[in-house]
Amino acid sequence: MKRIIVAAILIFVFSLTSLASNLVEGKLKNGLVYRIYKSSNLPIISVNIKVKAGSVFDPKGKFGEAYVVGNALENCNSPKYKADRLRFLFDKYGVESGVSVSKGYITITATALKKNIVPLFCLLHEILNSKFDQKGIDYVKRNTVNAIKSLKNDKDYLAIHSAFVSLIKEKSYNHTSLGTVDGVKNVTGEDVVGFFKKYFNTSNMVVSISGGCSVKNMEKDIEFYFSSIKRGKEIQFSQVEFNSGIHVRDIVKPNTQQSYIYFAFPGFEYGTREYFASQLLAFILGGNLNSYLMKDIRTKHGYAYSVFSFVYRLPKKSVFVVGLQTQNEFTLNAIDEVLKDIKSFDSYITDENLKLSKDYMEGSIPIALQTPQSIASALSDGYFLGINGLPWEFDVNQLKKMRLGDLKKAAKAIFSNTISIGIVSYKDFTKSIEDIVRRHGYR
Amino acid sequence: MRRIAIVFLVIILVSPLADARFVHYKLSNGLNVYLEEDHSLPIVNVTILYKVGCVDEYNSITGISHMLEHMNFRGSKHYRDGFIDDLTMRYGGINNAQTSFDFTVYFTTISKKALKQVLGFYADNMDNLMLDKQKFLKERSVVYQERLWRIDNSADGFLYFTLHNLAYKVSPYRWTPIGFAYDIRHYTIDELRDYYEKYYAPNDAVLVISGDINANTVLNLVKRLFGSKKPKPIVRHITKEPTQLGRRIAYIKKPSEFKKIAIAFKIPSIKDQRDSAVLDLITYLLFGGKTAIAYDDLVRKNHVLVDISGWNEGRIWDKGLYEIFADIPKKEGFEEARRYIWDEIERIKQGDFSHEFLKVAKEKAAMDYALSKETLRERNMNEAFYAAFSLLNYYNNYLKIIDNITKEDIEKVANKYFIQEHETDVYLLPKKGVKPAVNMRFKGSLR
Repeated sequence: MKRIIVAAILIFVFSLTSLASNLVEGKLKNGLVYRIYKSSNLPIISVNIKVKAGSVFDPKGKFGEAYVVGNALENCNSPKYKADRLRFLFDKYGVESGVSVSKGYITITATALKKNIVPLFCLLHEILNSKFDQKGIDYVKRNTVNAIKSLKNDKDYLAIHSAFVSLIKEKSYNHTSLGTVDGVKNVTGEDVVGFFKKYFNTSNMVVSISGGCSVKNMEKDIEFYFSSIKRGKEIQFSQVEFNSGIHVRDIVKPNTQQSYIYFAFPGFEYGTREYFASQLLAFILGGNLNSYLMKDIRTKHGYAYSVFSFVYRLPKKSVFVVGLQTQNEFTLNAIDEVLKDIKSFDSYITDENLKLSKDYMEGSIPIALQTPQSIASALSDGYFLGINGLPWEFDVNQLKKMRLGDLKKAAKAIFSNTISIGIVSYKDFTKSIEDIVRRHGYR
Repeated sequence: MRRIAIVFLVIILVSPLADARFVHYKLSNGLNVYLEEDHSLPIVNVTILYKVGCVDEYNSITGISHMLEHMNFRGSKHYRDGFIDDLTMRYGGINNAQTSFDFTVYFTTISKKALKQVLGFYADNMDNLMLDKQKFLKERSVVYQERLWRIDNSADGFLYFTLHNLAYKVSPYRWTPIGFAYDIRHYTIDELRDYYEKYYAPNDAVLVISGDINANTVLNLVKRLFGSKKPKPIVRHITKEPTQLGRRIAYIKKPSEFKKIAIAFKIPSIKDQRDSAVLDLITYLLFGGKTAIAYDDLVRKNHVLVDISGWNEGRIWDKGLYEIFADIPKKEGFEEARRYIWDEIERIKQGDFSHEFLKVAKEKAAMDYALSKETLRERNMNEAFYAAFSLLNYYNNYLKIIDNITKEDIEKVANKYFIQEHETDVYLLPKKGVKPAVNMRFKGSLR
């Protein structure tokens, strides 16, 4: 019996050790922080390089500069290869890579089979030493301008963007990461090089790796391929201010057969109690098919195929968003119903919903962490949010601490004073929407 | 000490099964069950696929498979409306469904603790759906909203829908899973009930369960929950699409920043496995990854198109379509755009690409294949689809088939299918604002 108890204790200790030891964090001599998480037995490795160099740093008159820099990385010549050859090598070794640019960050992701891990690192090393030739930059600028033009008919984008522009005071925060046509056209080759030099340094960067990898080998590779990245000054994000009051911006598209409606409300800074409360609120209101808004707007009234809410995290603070699309005739009824719903705090902020939302968040972790890509991404996010250890555990621990009072307080703060509505519709509803909003207590 | 060593050995042995494989069982009522143990995370995925889709519909009930998919969440005899969403909320996870040309599939990824309830829910849905009339009327309005959002109010969605309307004359593949707007607004509850009675049966379904399960225990549970379901005779009369005898062209208008072109060629059913795999490789050559030949020539280097993409849309019961979509800049016309695309197709037909490029295309296919096995949901979805249509052998040997394809195979297949007689073109002209007539009659819950 004693032996069994000893064995059981040892198993427990062994399990804990192996879990904790899945995450290895380190720092190279040049100051670059890396995080490695051995996550699966699939023969796949994913690398996520996150750089604090998002579109909030676009200079005035050059909105879109960060986007051009990010996308130029994969489309320009590198020290060893012409751009064509570089792209060929990515495909030759099956390295699936991409660059995304958000308000706060440029993120480079690369995933490959384990057998191609060395080419993967070589190629990342190459693009991080990009030559930024004019031909490559011109291609990226042309593509970016076309992407911006395409957005003119993306009604979901137009509506949410309008809501954000009215809500957020700073232009650095409220312009889209793609930039503007004129802004992108104004970006020069020197601008691209200058931006890259300013932000792509070890103080603004983290490298996260996940997959069926040997941690020791990964550490060697990181040191070999990333030690040449230069040190630099850590850049800080500026603060965000929200406009107060009622803001309705209606973009009229006479041919549209549906209205695209987005409500934006001021949200909280990541890490605060209110922020985690708002996460749970977003889930309860419009986070799944059985959420409060979904049950009312979709199931009961049949107004929309989809109605949803989420917290959009800005580099500083956040925006609480509710969105839906509805056929033209339902536009005003749907807006009225959404506002009625979100103000019915006692109907949806209940003990049962609080428990369910916490359980959901906790239970969803293993499902969200099935791929090395998602783990590497979470590790990079966590680094810039100042989380030591596993970010998904940190979040769940914070969410578990939330009480009913926290949710009510957060809901009152979010939904009481300021509202920004962006809408694309077949006729101008501004006046009617403002009347509805006032009826729901906004001033 | 020996006992401890044994315990540790057991821990190592039951740690993630890198090479876990599905095991197949067939119940006496015809239900095919596939189980896979994967203990790497404390979660499971349940996927159930019914062999019913557009192909089983006809004029006046187009899109009804999709309507029925929606109603699968609105309550059965033993499970209340919204049950699976509540369950997913309680345990964390994801559940959803998808209707396609040839099938309807439901899936849930959730904590292993909820497996029994998930299976119970899907079992009850097989023959005990309530299909309440009032709920149906509301849900029909939701589906109509979906149609507006996906098709009528989207340039790309409408282009895709129209391409099918034109490429097929008689086959039920001539509408996409959402169906025609008129039909959506006029389905009756009786039509839906008849359709459900006809196609939801154990012998028309495949059930796939994987994750942190004990296969024997789960099999017993499946037998208990699904074993008593009655099989039904499923008779399909699918009108075969006659051979296309000439190029078809249509011009449509929708608000859009760019002119758009869609080109489709008739291709064989996916059951013609060899040609289907070759068409996949052609996709990787022309449109895949960073070295896509068509994209590189037409978008990156010559700037004659704004964007281009294409893929092989094989179908099960009849010919499929090889589809190409492109956005055209203001300076270029439709016929020029078509000619540029044809030049790229000619390159493939004449073998004007290097062996190295072919090798790279195969590498892209191998990587995509590996990525498609990353999550339980993707693995189960693939298993269910290929098992349902007796294509598992093809799926399991896919990379070998790809590896054996030669340059000559590619030229041969391209010359066989990319011909003008079998071509359908839809041109989308950007439309400027005109106020639409507002339909005041339909309020979403009339009938």
